[in-house]
Amino acid sequence: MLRGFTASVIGVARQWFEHPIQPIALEQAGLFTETADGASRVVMQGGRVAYLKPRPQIVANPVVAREKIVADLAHVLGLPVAPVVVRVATPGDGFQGHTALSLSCLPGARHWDAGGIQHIASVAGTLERLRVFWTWIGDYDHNNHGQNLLYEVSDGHCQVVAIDHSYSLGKDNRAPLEQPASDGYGTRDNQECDHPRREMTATIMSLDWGNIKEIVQRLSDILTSEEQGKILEVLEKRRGGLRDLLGMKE
Amino acid sequence: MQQAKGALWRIEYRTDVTQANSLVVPVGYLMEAVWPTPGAKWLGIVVRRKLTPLELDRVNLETWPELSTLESFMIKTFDEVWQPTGAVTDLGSQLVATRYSEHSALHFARDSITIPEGDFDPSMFGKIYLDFLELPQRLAPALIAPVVTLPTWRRPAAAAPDVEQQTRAA
Repeated sequence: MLRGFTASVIGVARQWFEHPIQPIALEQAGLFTETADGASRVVMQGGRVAYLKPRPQIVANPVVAREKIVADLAHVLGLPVAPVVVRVATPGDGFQGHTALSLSCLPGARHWDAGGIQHIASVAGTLERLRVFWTWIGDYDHNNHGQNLLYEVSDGHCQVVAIDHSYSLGKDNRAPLEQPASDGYGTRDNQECDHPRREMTATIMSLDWGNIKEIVQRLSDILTSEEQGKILEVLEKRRGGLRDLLGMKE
Repeated sequence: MQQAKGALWRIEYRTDVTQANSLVVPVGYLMEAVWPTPGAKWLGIVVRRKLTPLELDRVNLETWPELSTLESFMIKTFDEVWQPTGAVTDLGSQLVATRYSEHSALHFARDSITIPEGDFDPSMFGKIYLDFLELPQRLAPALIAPVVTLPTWRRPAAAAPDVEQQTRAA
């Protein structure tokens, strides 16, 4: 599923997974968007482009942590989610809190709602795997949201990348099982997606709980133990109820 | 009374959105102004009719096939902005631009624009149109084929008399 990514993207993804919180030098290359937390295009050393959130002056550790935890879980599962790293606060240039840096992955990227639907047949399996993942983490911002999924076609192969996962993991104090299954991007009722659905569900069920806890607890610089506990409760309970949430029969 | 609002979008294609120093191909400009009271709108688009062959070589046409027929794609975009799905007082261009954000190789970048102040007056259209006419000069191609000067052909002088010619001359 990651075969469309360049080697350099995979290299950055690994490095960011191994070192979840880092000081990273960058230059802002665009205005912050007017969305809730704000995001801006930035350029890192070597010219690589990434997207930074939230805007300066805002300390939004739970937002940053959710982005990072979701990207790391996706990394473990081999799912096409843009890699994220937590950037250490730099009060000297206005960033009072830690921020989330999301890597730009597809050279010719296009938003899903600008034409992606015509490629759905070739990426349905990947989208269904992502839907299972979004259901597990209680995501509610990828229900056919056209700006949170990017795609690119290259050498006849369509590659998708999911971005923006801060609306997940019990945001807004949602109870662990309150959020229903993700609608995803039109693959829920596709019978050809039965296999990828079952396969991804089984993969999530087989993840070592100790590894999942580690992915959350290593962010103790920006998450209180209470916040960690709530996120882990969401992941544990939703994993336990994943088949029911997805309406799967044994 | 609601304030007039406007937007000027610079439309460009980044040949590699993951790298800051990649080639940027200028595509066009879209300018829109809306006066909620009494309910007037001005919309203009200026686009290149087509990209140069060298620019097209750098475009991912599998992902962006419309860029090979740029003019019709942009006319369709204009029509879409003119008839937005939101409220009449919304900027239709704002809605369309969300599909071409900073994440997208084809990007609608917001530039500054000055909307004449005061109550709506139809003569404002003329002022906006004058600003609009300045925009085409910013749309020079990013890549054009080099102009090659061909050498002038001259018949080389024979180093020595040609035997066959000499025989015929005799």
